[in-house]
Amino acid sequence: MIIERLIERLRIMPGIGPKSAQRIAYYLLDRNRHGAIQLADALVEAMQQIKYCDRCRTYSEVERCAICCDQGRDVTRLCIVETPADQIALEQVTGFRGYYFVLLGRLSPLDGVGPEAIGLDRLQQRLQEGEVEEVIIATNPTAEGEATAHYISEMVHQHALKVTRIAHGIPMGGELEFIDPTTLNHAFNRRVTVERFNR
Amino acid sequence: MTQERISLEPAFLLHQLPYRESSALIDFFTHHHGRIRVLAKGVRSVAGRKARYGGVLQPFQPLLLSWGGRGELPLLYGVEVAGFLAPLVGNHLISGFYLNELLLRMTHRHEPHSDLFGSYHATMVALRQPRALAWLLRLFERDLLAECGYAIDFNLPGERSAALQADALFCCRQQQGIVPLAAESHCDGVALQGKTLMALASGRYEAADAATVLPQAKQLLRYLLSFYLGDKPLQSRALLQQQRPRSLT
Ligand SMILES: [Zn+2]
Repeated sequence: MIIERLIERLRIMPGIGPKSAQRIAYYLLDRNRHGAIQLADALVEAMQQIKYCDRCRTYSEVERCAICCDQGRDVTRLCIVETPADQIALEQVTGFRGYYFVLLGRLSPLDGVGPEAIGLDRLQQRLQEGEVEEVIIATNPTAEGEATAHYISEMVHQHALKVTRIAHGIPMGGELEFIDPTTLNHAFNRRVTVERFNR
Repeated sequence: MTQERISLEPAFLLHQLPYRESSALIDFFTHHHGRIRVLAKGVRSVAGRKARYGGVLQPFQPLLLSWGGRGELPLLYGVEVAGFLAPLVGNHLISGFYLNELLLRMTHRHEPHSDLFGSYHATMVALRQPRALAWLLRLFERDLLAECGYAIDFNLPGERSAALQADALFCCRQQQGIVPLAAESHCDGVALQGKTLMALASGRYEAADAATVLPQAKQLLRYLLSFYLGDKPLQSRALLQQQRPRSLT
């Protein structure tokens, strides 16, 4: 009974079917009971204590996350992303030193996800505070991501602030003939001037 | 439903639901098979693995679809682009969601609607042109109602349509259809002028009549659609309305 329950519970993880769940359960029982107990503790701790930052909505174990608490960042620039994972990805490679706002989703009218569900009322408040000068919209280049970007840009324009949208184009290592038409069209139409390289 | 395999069928993607780790259940509107739902494997990217058909499985783009398999849930075998339409932006994009939501709510799976497919395709093309957005939506709503068996009857009882006076008043009520409205009498449905009916019948209106025709047509179609849509509000319509004081739908 207990073992069946364990197998059943393991299946909540993405991509874990009954076979894999059974394999994991037996592995933990056979080889790593100590590690499994630590995992169980970590799960309980995380699930009970991790909440959302009251300012940017990313995951945080304290009321306000480390980035939002960092006074040294550029308060005039706010970058909007769909998920905490997107925020981390940008933070690691862009050198962006402004603040973030995490939607935890995207507008998706056909799934019943409207502006409140992605915290746009909170974003509105943030814009009203008057410190932000540029909003960088980094939602995904999907139909829903574009609809979200459009909705947010209308909101930001009402405050007469600058709005920018991350560029999308051909991925590194990609080959033009195999690129989907929307991406290729976009990359071509939004081509950039190549500056002369001065040494 | 179907056992056969269907190849390269013209279609548009209406909606995707994530399924399992990397798959999706996708509703398509097809030319000859109406609305279908298929299981599309591996179409969502998971860590380290790229999504199949990435960038091609988009709404509002003409596609060629191949699917088949037994049972309620056929498998998607292939997707190709069939021509290219510029990406929809702004309110045109949200209007695209509105059309898709209407199709999902108003049509039943596996019911062929090839005329309506033609109308949808034409609307998708027109959405990329500098045309009056609201009117495009009205004409699609008109076609959708007709295709679902609720066509507006432009031939008025006891009166030949040629006699339809542009300025005459009419009243549309759910039970009675469209009837002439006697002067000074009250219409507890939607009151409208002959010119609005003529515009909806022909698909065009005189520029000078826009201020009459557009709001009346919107009211009429909204009224008629509401009987078939029930109480559940259209999410995309709400989004269009929140965006603009003067709403489009
Ligand atoms: Zn934060």
